[in-house]
Amino acid sequence: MVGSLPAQLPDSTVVALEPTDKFSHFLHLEAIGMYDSNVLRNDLLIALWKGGEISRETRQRSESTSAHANRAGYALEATLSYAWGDRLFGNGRMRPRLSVAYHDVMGIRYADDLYHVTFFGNADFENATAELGPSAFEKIRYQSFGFGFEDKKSRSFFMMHLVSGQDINAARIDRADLFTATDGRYLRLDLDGSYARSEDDGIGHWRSRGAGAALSAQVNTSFKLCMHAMEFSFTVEDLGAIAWNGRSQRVPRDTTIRYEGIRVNDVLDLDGALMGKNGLQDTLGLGYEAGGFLRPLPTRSSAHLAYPGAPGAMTYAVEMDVRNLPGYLPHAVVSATHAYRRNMFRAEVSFGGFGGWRAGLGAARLIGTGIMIELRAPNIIGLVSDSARGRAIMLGAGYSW
Amino acid sequence: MGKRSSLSLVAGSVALSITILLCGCRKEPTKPSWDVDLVVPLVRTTMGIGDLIADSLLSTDANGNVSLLYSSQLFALKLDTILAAPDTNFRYVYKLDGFSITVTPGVTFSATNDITRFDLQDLDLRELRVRSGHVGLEMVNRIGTSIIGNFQLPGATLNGTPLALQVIAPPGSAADPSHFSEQHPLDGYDFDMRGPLHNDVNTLATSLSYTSDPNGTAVMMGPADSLEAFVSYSGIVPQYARGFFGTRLITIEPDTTRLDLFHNISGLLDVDVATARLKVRNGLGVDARANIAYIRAINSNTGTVVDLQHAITSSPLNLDRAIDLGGSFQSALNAYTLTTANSNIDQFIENLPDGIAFAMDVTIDPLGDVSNGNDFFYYESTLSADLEVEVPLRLIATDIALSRTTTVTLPGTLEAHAFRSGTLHFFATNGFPFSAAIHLDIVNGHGDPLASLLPGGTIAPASLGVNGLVSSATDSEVHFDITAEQLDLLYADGRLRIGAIFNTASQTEHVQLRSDYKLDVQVTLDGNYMVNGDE
Repeated sequence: MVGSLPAQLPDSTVVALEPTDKFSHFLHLEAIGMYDSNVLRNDLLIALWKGGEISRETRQRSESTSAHANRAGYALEATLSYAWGDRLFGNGRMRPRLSVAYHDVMGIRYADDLYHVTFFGNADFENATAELGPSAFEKIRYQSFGFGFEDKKSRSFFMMHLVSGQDINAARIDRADLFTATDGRYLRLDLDGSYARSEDDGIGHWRSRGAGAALSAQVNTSFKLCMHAMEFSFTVEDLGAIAWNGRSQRVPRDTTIRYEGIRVNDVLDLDGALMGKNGLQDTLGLGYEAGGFLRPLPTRSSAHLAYPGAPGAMTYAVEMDVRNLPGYLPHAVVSATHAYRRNMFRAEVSFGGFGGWRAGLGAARLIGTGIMIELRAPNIIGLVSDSARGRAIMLGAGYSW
Repeated sequence: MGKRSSLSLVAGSVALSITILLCGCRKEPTKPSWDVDLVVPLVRTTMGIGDLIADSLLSTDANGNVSLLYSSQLFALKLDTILAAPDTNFRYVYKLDGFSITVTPGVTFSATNDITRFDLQDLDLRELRVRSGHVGLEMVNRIGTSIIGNFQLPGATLNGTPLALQVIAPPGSAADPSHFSEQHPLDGYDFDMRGPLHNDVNTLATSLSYTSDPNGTAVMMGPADSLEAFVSYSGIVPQYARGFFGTRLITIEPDTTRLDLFHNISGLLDVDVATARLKVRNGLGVDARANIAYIRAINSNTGTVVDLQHAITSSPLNLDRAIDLGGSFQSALNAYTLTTANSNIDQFIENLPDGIAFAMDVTIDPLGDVSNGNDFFYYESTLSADLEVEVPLRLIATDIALSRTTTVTLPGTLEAHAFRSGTLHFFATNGFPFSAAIHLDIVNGHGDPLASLLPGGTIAPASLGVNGLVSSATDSEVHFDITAEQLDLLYADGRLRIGAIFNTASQTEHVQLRSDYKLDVQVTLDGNYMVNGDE
C-alpha cells in the first residue's frame, strides 16, 4: 500500500470487531486505487488519464502552484491473503499463510522547468537554460506469490514472496540543463542521469520480463504506557528485488550533448527531419544498451501505534510509513475510530506521501459472524473536487470461519 | 441475508470496484495531447555544386574548375522495318489437262523444282538471316487418296541442315477437297538468296513433290481433280541482311527532343565559352549522306527559338559505313565539333532550351553499289545522332530561376497532425559566388499556387577576391512563416514548390564555379507542436 493509506487495516479492523480465536480460516482481500500529488491538480491528471486534448489553462493551473519539490504518483494494488489451521509443523502458536498480489505503482519527483518544458515546450527558454533536474521517475508493475506463517494470537506474520515483474520504466536525472540557442540554432544538454526499462517486446501485457524474491513481515504487540494499553505494529512489505531479463535496456549517461539537427543529404528531406524516436536517440548518443539489471522493489515500511479506548469509546492511532519510490515522502496518519454495534467509523488526517495534508473518512461493517467489508476514502476532498489534488479509494473484505 | 448471499455480495462488490479502479473510465485508448511551443533545430546539410547539378553532368579539371557535360540523343533510326522482307505467298498447282490416270499407292509424281523470287523492290538481297518469322504450307487435295506433300528449301539452312517439311493431306474430291496446313518457324534460318546457281538475288530454290498414300488404294484422277499447295512467308524479321540496298532517301520526320538540363529554368545566362559535338553513329553497312535542315534550341517558357548555325546545317554530311565483323558490326563514328568560334553554340545554350528540334533526311548508297553487293545491316544496327554539350561553368547568371515541386510527406493526417504552425528558419553559409532568393509556395496538383510562405529572403553570395574566385563565405538568414491554414493546405495536397533565383556576384565578369564551393544550410523550427498529435 502506498500514498495516504494506512497499512493492514482489515486485519486490525476484524480484531476490533470480532475476536479471532473463534475462527481457524481467514481470507482477506484488499484493493487500493489512488493517485496523489502535491502540485498536480485532479483536472490535469484526469485529462491525462482519459486522453484527448488538454487545454493550456488546465496545464497552467497545475503549474502555477508548483513548488520546487514537485511530487506525484499512483498505486493500483490488490492483495488476497489466506491463513488457516491450528498449528504449523506441530507448533500450536503458528498457522500457515499464503498470499497473491498485483502491484502497479508509479512515483515521480520533478523540477519546475521539466514540467514547463513538458507541457509548454522550450520556447520560453530561448537563449536560456531549463533546469530539468534533479528529477526521478519509476513505474513498475509486478505480481507476487507469498507463503509463510503467522502467529495465531497476535496475527504477526512472516512471508517469502516469489515475484514476477511485468514491466518497469525508471529514470534518475541528477542534472539535466537544457540550453536553447536563439532561433533553435542548437540545443545543449548537460546530462547526468540514467534510464532503465524492461524488455520492449510490444507483446504480452502479462508476460513476465523479470523474476525476483521478497519478504514481508509484520510484528503486532501490545504494551502499557502510563497505565494505558497500547497496540503497536511494524510492517515491512515487499523487501526484495527483481532481476530484469537480458533484453532489458538501459541508458546511463554523464555527458554534454549539442544537437544542431539531423544531417541530411537534401535540405528538404523531411523524412530525415522527422525521424523516429530511436533514430533521434542514436543521433544524440542516447541509444539503449541491452542487458539485465537488478532493481529493488518499491518496499514499504510502516509503524502503527494505537490507543484503544474502552468498549464504545474512541480508538486513536498514529501511523508513519515510507516507500521506496521517487517523490514519496514519509507519510503520517492520525486517526480516530469509533465502533458502534456492528459498524465502525473512522476519521483521519494525513500528511506526506505523494501529497500534502489530506482528510479522510472510512467505515466498516461486520456481516454475520465472520464477514467484514470496509470502504475508506483517505482523501475525501479529492474524491469530489477536480481542483483538489489526489484521489484515493480503498476496499477491504475479510471472511473468517 | 444468509452467509452465502452476503459473501456473494461482498465478492461481487469488490470485484466490481477493482475492475473500475484498474480500467478507469477510459472507453477507448485515446492518448492525451497538448500543444507545446518548440524551438528546435531540424536538419542541416552541406551542398556542393554536385548537389545543385547532378554529378553525372559535371566534370572537374585539375584546377577544380567545373564544367557542365550534357548529352542528348537527337534520333536513332533502325532500318529493319524499311529493309524488311514483306509477307509473300506462292501457289503451286498440279492437275491433269483433259485426261485421266490411275494413281497407285506409293507413287511419287509431279516434283516441282522451282525458284521463289521475292519482290523486295529496290533491295537486292544475297543473304538473309531470319531473326523471327514463319513459313506456312497448306495443301488442298481433290484426289481420292491421302497425299504426302514434301516441301524443301535447299537454300534455307539451320546449322547447315536444309529446311524440309512433310505434310499429309487426307483424301478429297473435286466437290469436297480436303485441307491440311502447317506452320514452321524460320527463326535462325540462313537464306541464300542467290538462287540455285548462286548468281541471282532475292531468289530462293524451292522443291515440292507429292507421294500417294503407300497404304492406300489405287484411285482414278481425272481433269477435275487436282492438288494445290500454298507456301507463305510471314512476319520475317531479318537478323542480318547482305546485298545491295539501293539508293534511297530516308526522311527523318521533324521531331523535338526534350532537354532536361534547363527544364524549369529561366533568366539570363551568359556563358564564356561552350563546345558541342554532334556525333552521328552509322551502324549500317552502307554509305550515307545526311542533310540537316535545322537543329533548333527551343525555350518553351519564353517561346524563343535559336537555330544552330554551323557547317553541319548548311552542307551535306557524308557518313562512313559500319564494318561487318562477321556476326557483329562496328559502327562508324562521324563527329563534328561546334565551338563559339565556328558556330553560335553559346547563344544556342544561353537560350536555356528545354527542347531541341531537328529535321533531316538521309540518303543511303548515294553513289550506288560501290560495295559490289556487300551492303549489310544487323538487327541491332542503327543510324543515330547525339549532341554533346560541354559548358565550362564560367558564367554570368542574371535572375536565373530554378523551381522544383516536391511532394511533402508529413506525419499524421489533415485531421490530426502534430505540427500546427510556426516559422522555419534557414541559416545559410554560402560559399558560392551567387546569391539565391528563396521562395516557398504551396501548390495544387496542377502547379497552381495556393499560398506563399512569407517573408522568404535572399541568401547572399560569397565574397569574391581580386582573382574572381571566392575569398570568403557569407552568412544569411531566411525565414518562412507557416500558418495553421497553410499547413492544412500542405496536408490536403502535399506539394511544396521551392523556387530559387540566382545572380552571380559579378554581373559584368564571368564567374568560375569550382568543385570546392559549398553551401551550408541549417533549418530550425519555431513552432507549435501537438504532443501525440499524429495519433
